Amino acid sequence: MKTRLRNLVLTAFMLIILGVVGCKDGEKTHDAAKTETCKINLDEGKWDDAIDNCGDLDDDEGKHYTAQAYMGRGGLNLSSLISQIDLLTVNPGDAIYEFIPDTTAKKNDFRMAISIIMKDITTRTNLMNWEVMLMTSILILGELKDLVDLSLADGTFSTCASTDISNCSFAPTINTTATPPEVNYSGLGNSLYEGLCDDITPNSAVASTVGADQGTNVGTPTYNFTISKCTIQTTSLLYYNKVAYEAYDATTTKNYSVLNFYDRMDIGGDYTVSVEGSSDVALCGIVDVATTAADDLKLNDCGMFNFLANPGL
Amino acid sequence: MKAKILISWLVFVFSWTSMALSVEYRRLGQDYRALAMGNTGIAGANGETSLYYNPAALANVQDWWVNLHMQAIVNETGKDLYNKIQGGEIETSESEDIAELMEDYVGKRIYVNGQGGASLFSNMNKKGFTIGANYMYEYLFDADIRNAALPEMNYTYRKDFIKQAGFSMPVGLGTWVVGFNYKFIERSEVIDRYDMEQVAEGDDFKIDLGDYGSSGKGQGYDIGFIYRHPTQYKVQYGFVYKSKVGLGDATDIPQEISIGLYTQHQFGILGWAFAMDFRDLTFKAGSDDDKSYARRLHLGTEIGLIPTSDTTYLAYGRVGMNQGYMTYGAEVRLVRTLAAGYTVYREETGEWASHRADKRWVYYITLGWGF
Repeated sequence: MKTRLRNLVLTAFMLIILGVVGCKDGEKTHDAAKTETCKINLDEGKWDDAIDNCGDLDDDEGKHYTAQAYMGRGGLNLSSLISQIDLLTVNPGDAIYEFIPDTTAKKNDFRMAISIIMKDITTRTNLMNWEVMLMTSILILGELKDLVDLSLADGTFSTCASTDISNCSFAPTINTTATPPEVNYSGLGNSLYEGLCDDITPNSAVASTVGADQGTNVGTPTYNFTISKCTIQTTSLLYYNKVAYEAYDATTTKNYSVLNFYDRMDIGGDYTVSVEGSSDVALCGIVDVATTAADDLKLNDCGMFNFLANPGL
Repeated sequence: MKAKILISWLVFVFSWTSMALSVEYRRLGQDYRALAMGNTGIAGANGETSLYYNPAALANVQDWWVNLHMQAIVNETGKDLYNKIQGGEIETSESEDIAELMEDYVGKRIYVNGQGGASLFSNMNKKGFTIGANYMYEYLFDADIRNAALPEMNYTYRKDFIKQAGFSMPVGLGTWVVGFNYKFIERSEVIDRYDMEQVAEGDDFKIDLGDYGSSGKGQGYDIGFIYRHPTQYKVQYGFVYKSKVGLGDATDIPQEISIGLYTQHQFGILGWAFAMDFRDLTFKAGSDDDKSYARRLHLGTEIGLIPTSDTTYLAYGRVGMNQGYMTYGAEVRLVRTLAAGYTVYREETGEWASHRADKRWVYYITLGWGF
């Protein structure tokens, strides 16, 4: 009896020990295992690990997770976005202002996320289109932030152009000490158009008009203008913003048209600006620079001035 | 010699490691005793669990009785949410409320399972000829909230209604027992995802089975065998084949073939039982590429204190191992009249045994009448 009991206990004990030692798998590396590891990294907010692990996946789901890992590392997170979700459809500037990346690395993370969704994924879902709308809007706003002194205070959004575009640093100025007087405008700059259009060699039109009849009409100014312009490339923020918005299928009454920055920017036309001490100036017309048309995938300063005067933020 | 062979085989089995995928093995009628014993039951189930694990195990039933049983399985997040809902701290009427809930519980799983039903058992000759019937409702809500960047919730809400009847019958001199069980299942379920797109659109959280559910009815059967090794070690070896149950538009129940062993001994006022199962021999559970042996291996032991009948004890303690995780439980039982207790176990919800555990608590109570 004792022998039997001893044998039973020893055998059971050995079996249990063997079971404890033997019943765990090691880490696996097939696709589904990688997917789960990728998802766990996303759960825990371990963005670098998620980018590494999700980046090994070849299917659309894995690529989307990779893009979301970049979004997370770039600073886009739900906690602040939730409280602003209704504001997104009314005043997107207020809603997404805090997500504007403050470092080049974070901007690059957003751009990488957008690139993965728009170029690498075979079939985009509606959620992906929504994500691209959001990220391109955030980055576009970031491009404008310094240019127009974008700021948010007490829920109120303001730019240098809120009251009069002449308050902006890039507004045309007059040099009344010159003879004849000079109206100078140096353009919005290539950096802005590189950021918006992905046009690495944005064109600019340098034009000037010497005032007629200088000898007898010293009051007619010389216009020294540099009109910056670009062609919106298919890899650009504005183009992706356009494509994502057009592809997004809104199923309810929520209206995300305010995130459609492309439509509000590529409006073309000329812009008449007031210059203190001089008559009003048609920015492109005065120097005979061709304006762009709406929705022609071309931007220049004249059309941008129209947008900046009424950005819809 | 036979013990050495057995141990060698076990070493061989346990040394296997294999791949596993991130799908939980859902099974109907998972029982508190079985779960406490590492989710074993192929050879050692008794009571209503026999109809869910192996109908041949009906031969372990020695009495006549009718019982009503209720069981709740909940994980930590489920308990936390229940308390908050009771306290009015959680709102779910707006999409933003759902989004806040997702943010708070990202990386976690909400699991709530409730079962309630009645069973009838009749042992005809104390040698293994037993008939049994069971009638049960089972509700499940399982939501997996992932991705801290832009959370999404993949959820299942399911209602099952199960009716089944079966018998076990000794063959020959009673060393072999054969069992058969027939079951009828009705299922309604919603399986969906709620993500940031739904939040952005203000969409409703689709949970109503009537409006959004898929449903189906199906029938299936189980055939089982138990070999009662006629030695002093009283080891029983079990085998069961469970047919696939097609459920129309709802999720089918896959086929399962399992084996197990069980032994039970009395030492004065102590009873001791040990069980080991290898379930799903043909790898139907989980995802297509799931070939993990570790996830399919189950071990358990039970200690009974103070016998109150030929087959019951006043109190039980149980320990086991389920898919690489420890399980345990305790029970107080007044013969067949009243039993109550709890079990704690972990379910594998990741890619391989010990990848992503979900800890769950089982609370149960049964009321019975013997004859």
